[in-house]
Amino acid sequence: MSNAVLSLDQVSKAYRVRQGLFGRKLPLHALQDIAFSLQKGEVVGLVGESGCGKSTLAKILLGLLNPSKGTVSMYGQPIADMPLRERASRVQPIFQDPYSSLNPRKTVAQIVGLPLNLLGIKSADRNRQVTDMLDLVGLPQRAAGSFPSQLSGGQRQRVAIARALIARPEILICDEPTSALDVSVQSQILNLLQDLRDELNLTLLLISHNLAVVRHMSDRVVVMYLGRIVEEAETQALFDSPQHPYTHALLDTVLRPVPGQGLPYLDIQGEFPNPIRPPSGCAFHPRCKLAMDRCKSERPVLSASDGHRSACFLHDVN
Amino acid sequence: MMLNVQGLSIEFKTENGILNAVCGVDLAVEHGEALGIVGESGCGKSVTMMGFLSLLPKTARRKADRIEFDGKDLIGISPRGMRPLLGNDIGVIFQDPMTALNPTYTIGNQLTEVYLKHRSASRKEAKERAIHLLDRVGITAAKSRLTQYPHQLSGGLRQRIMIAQALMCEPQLIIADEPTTALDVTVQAQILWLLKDIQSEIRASVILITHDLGVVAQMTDRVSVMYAGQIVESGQTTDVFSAPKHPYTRGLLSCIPGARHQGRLGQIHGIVPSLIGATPRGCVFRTRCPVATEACRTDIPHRKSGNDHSWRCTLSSAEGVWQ
Repeated sequence: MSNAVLSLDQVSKAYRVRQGLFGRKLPLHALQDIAFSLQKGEVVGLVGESGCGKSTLAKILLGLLNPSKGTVSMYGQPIADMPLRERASRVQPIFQDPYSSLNPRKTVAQIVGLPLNLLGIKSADRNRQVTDMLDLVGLPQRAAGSFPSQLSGGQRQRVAIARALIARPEILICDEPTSALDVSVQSQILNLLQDLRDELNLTLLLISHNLAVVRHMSDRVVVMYLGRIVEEAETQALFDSPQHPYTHALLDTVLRPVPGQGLPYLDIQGEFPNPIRPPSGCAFHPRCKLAMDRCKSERPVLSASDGHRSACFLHDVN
Repeated sequence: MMLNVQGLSIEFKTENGILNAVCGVDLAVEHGEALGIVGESGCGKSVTMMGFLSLLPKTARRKADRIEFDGKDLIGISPRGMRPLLGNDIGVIFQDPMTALNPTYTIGNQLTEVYLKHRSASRKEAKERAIHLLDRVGITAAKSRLTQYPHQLSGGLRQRIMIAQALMCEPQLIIADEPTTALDVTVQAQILWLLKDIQSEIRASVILITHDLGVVAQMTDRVSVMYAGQIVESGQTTDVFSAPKHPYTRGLLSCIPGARHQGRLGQIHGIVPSLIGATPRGCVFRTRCPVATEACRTDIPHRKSGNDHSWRCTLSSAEGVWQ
């Protein structure tokens, strides 16, 4: 754990949500007792369906939201104690939609150079760094004077990556970085992220619902369901021998471009539950074909064997 | 033949000139067959569909040698004349059920509307049909859903309602435009199963428009690959995926993570050409093609092999590209 660039210790986040126009405000537990860490130079994939808390987690890691409970630390130092400027120069985001995450009234050079402004770097230096950065992410120099609307989706995502990297952060939080892009553009961006990781020794948290992308990119994968981690393992181990029934179902959903394999028979029933009224016991039990009586009343804890953690009574070591 | 489209071209008038969105597209769907149309954003897949359904906006101009639905000529028919067909013989499922359903009408209203319009049925019969279909698409408590509004339902439920709506009048042709793109992966699998089951149950033909090659591989019998407004390759899905002939199809397949497991992903360099102005001669893909030659600037032959597998390329095979 000592090598951890970023670690989360029992992080929880609750929102208060009003039910209906005149209803009471009820707590929505977006994250509960999240604990994991990112090692230097590692790519960790975070998967789960909409509403599982992936994006809330990203916001907490970026310092855009404060956790209700628990601490996030960088090299053992809580980030809550860190000045925003320092935190921002070490952790940077890449968001999903490059159409809305770039200011349409600023040129590419202004967008990419803005973080340097905040760090107080002089303008001559700044221009040189912006030029270098555009090179690094594979944008032509003439793009510097363009507005985002003049660029394609893939080019915009490159601008977002350049902006994230210009302050030389150690950690990139990528929230669905390619899900708004076409497959041929997605492959360009994923290759670029891999190259940059190797070149700059970056640590990446890759949040995605696309398991094929996560498998291709990550060293380790964390699976979330309804605000909790249900499984975590090295990528190979997770894909070869998933332990949690939810992970099983998720892995089955991957449709490969090989005709004749047929659609998957999912061992999963019903719909994603309402997070305001989560099911008792194991949150997954209403959808799980293997659920036992115990699952309805008791919540399994995340337990580890050989670095493979899962929260399911079927694999409870005790 | 269920649908036969030959030489379909669609232009849009824009501020910057004429945009050639679709250029000489041929499509054929047999009875009971599922055809996939794949391609990336802006390649013209949805406009093609809007084209043969006469649902284009006023700024568009359509040309076609032949558009036939079940032997009936559709070229001469006005958009108004299409009404007896749309929703009746042809059911359409759109990508985003939030924008395709009317937020101010109840589910019951939207389901029975098509049925009352096309059939001489009473309200009671229409309501019974709606409940039957909601049941069929796997919606629990079907009766009580009729009085709910779209915003009260989850994305997966809304998509099921879209499917029920498209099926109200037992269409012979179902067109699904990116039916699962807005959904979570586990819901996607459920919806695809539903579509497949229903297709075999009512023996309808299906046109599935998508950018997801994994979905096309598992759902369709034949596939047409579109690029920049043209169909560059088409054939039996198994043939096209196992032995792609066009460099674009090959490139697209190499870009998908997991197809080859490790190493770098394949990459198609450059960007899609602008479709504004006169259509240039030669291959539309040549600016990005790693094996393009001078010959690609001239007219491109339609090549054919075996089981109605055809492609537009100067090469007889793209073997070796993007390996």
